[in-house]
Amino acid sequence: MIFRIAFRNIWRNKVRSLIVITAVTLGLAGGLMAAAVMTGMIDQKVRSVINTELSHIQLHDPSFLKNYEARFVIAGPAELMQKISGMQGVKSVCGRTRLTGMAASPNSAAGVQIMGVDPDSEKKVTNLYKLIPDSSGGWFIGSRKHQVMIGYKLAEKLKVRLKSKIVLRFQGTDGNLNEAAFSIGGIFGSSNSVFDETTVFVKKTDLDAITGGDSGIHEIAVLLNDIGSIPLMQSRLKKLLPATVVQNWMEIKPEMGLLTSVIAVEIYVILGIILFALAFGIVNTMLMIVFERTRELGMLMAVGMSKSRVFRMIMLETVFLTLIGGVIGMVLGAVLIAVLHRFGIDLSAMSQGLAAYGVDSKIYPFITREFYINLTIMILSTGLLSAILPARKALQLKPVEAIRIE
Amino acid sequence: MGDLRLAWRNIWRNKRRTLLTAASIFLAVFLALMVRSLQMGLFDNLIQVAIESHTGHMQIHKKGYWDDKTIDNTMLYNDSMAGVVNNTKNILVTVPRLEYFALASTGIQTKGVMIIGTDPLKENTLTHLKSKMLSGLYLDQSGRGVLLAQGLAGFLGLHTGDTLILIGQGFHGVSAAGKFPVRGILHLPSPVLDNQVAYMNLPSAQDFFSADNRVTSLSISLKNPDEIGQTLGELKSAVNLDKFEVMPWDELMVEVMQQLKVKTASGMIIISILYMIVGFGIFGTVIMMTNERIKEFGVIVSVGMQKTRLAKILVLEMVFIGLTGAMSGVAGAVPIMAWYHFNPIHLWGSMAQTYIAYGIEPLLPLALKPGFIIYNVATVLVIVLLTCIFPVRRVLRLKVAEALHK
Amino acid sequence: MKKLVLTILMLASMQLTFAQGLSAKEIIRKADDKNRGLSSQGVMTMTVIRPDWTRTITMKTWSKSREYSLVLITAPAKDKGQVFLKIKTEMWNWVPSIDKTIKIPPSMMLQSWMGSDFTNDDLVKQSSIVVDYTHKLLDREKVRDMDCYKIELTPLPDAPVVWGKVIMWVTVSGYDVWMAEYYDEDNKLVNVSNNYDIRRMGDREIPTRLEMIPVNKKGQKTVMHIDEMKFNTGIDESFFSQQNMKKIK
Repeated sequence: MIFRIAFRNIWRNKVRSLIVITAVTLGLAGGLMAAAVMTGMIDQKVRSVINTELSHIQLHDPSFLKNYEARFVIAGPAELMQKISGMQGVKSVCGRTRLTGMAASPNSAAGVQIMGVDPDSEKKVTNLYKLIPDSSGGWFIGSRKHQVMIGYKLAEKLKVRLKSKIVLRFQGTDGNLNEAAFSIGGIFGSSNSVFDETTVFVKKTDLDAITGGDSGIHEIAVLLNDIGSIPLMQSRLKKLLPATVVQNWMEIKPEMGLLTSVIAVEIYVILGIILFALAFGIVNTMLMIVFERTRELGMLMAVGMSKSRVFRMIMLETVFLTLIGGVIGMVLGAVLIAVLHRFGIDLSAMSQGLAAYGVDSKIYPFITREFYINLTIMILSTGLLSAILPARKALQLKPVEAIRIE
Repeated sequence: MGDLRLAWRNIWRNKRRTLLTAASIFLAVFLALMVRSLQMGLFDNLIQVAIESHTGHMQIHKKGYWDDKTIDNTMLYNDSMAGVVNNTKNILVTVPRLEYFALASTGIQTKGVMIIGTDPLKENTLTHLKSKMLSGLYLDQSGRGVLLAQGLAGFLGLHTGDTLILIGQGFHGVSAAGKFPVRGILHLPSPVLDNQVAYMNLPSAQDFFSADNRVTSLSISLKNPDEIGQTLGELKSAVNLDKFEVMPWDELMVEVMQQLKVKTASGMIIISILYMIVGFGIFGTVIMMTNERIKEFGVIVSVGMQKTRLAKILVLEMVFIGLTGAMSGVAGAVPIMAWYHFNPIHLWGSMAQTYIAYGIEPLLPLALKPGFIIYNVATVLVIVLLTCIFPVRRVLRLKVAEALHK
Repeated sequence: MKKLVLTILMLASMQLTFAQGLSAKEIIRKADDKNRGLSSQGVMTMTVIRPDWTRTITMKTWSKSREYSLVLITAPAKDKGQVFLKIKTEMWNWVPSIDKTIKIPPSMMLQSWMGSDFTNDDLVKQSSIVVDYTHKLLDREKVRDMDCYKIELTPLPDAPVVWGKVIMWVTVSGYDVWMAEYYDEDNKLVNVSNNYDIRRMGDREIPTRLEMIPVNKKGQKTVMHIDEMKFNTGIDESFFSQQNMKKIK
């Protein structure tokens, strides 16, 4: 009975109801959007670091990390990589030779990290190959020998361009100095200019041919299916290889951790504030409504409706309004997020113009299903709880006064 | 003026209504200020971390040094340069440094070391270097003792009391060679630096590199960072820009800048969402208030008041309510902001750990600047004025007969 | 008819070759060999010239074939006593003031040697002007009053050489490199080296002043002056050792 009364009450004053519904809708959609934008932001940062440079997990020989000396290779790399790629949760694996050396051009020279890779496996693990604009060559395309991929910052420093010749000099795994000419087959641009300035990629097979032996693998990079499985995979790998250093991307680059943890805190604070704003708003609005209906409520109580029923009626009204607003809000929020996710929010309008070499200034908001559900529940509960105060206030109205009010 | 007094009295005739409306405005201002204060506090904090880790707010170098950081691109740090710096009021401390590479020799191995020659007291003021000490004594002004980063010391197998042997190339190609007692070990948060850096006092470095009175950079920390633009201009006009370059931190740390810009942009999105929510709160209250008073308006107009005059009075009422709400919002927010500005929030969890790892205290002060306070109050007041459109239209289109029958 | 034309052409080209007596490659080889001899020993002065400073270093040098060399710095004071040893592609440095020998790692190799326009790596370079290039005789020209063969050197595709091409003028009478121009791949001139003052040193006559000039850096060059030099003095390989670095005077 109360249900029907409450329901009809809502539709009696459309304006009032619409206002409450809209407030809840905006609150929920807004909250979801805010969370999605901030999650998208962390994601963008993390994703570019993981996908371009670090992958989820890297393995090295412990001595290698101290001074990057070429002799500290990983033992039995081929079988190891085979085993790891067979593990549950692993998306792809690749191994690299990593040598310190110099790159020289007629005009200049620079210290570089030379990565000897297998181009195809590397493509499965990092997205660097996508960061080579069409005008700047490609990832080891064609059959030209001795191709090298360098960052655009390095190309600038050495004053070279596509197809230019540079000489790479390095100390091989056997300790001997080697040098050879390479031709620039591709110029990449990541969002990390230091990486672009100091890292070059060549085929491991070319390195082996130059040094006359197997250069060995210094670094194994592992890409997982799900970033959340990092702790689990890390501990599994550590058990499997107690003598190898198994690090996740945050351990390799701690400064990323600072930025992402800052944003994580912000998300909770902002959401808290939005919830507060919503609660306040609903309390405010419902109070207004209750006072507006003083006469009506007074009448009801005068003709015998018990206080508890009045209370329940108002609560129910709020429940309905909140639910309606909630459903619309959920749908609206989900749709907006999906649309923005597809097209991305381009922040480059607010940041400096960046060169053709893609620095990712687009955010792709998204929200995990868990978050979505949790947030919705939180916001709806807030709405309901905020109705308590106005409902109680309604009970305090004195029927006699109520009737007398104009 | 009659209308003003009328408007003022009208407001207080129905206290409840007025207070509820003012409350929604109070909420908007209060929350907007709190959120902006938090966002700006975080932003400034991140910059602070970046600056204090080494760079300072701005640096002076010999022109061309930043693009080609070699020992030959050093500048003279003499009385005239010191004079320029001393005369600039906003400067808190100027740290002269001589930074360059050399080789550390241990038995058969040689390892590249980054030597940072600096003024011990000034360095500590800028980067709190002393707090990063793990063992041994801090640098003194006149001895030859060096501080080794932990990773470096570990690799070289050196402890406090041992000797560091350095070889390199100094100014104008003169050979550099020397033995230095290890005075202490410290820990640097960045793993790359922790494996590479050695600190000594400036005279020792200048002697080693045969670079008398020369420095690679002057790192400047400001008393009031908000005036950075002004100070930058002052310095640029005081030095000879053909010989020197003056660079602010955002040019020195382009990567950090890029990340911060992304953060600013998303921060704006968040605050817009907040405004949408609280803005609607105000709008909703005003609509309800107007609808409630339709009968009252009908009566007033029917006894002769012109609709335009009534509309004007309504606007004045809203202005009063708006100002009341806004002032109370400011009055509520400012003390909290001030409190947490001078007694910064203590960070916790992984966020705190990351700050500590960078040698920065895990504190977050809320921002407290008149600029953004005024800006946000003004925005809310504009929203209030915009919402006035609704009641004004209602009044101007009022059909007295209908109104009286409500 | 065809056969006749072919024969004439062949004879004509042989005439050209015989007129020189040697192919371009042979000319370069002779110049290269003359420069080094089987072994050599001498005293040299290097002057580094920059827009706002100048530095002069004197040294005693010993070398054997292309693989071994030892350099002792005798002046100025701060550098005196330092010894550089090169064996094949590795290099060591002895610093008496701290009683330490260090092996120069690859990262230091491309730093300039003693502040000059030569890099450490120039001194240990594996690339050879004979082996790593193809040679083409372009012309005969007079340069600074010397009659020279003008030869174009084009690096082999895999050769570890940064240059796009090098042009060398080798004196006809003495097979000395008289001048060289180093170009990048866009045919822009990057370095020029000029040799002067042919004098008798030991058993041969060679240019005693060598200047290396980076074209794009104003007011900058390095000058090597050979004060004394003797060739084929019969130094043994064992002379070039780390122990000897500390003993040499």
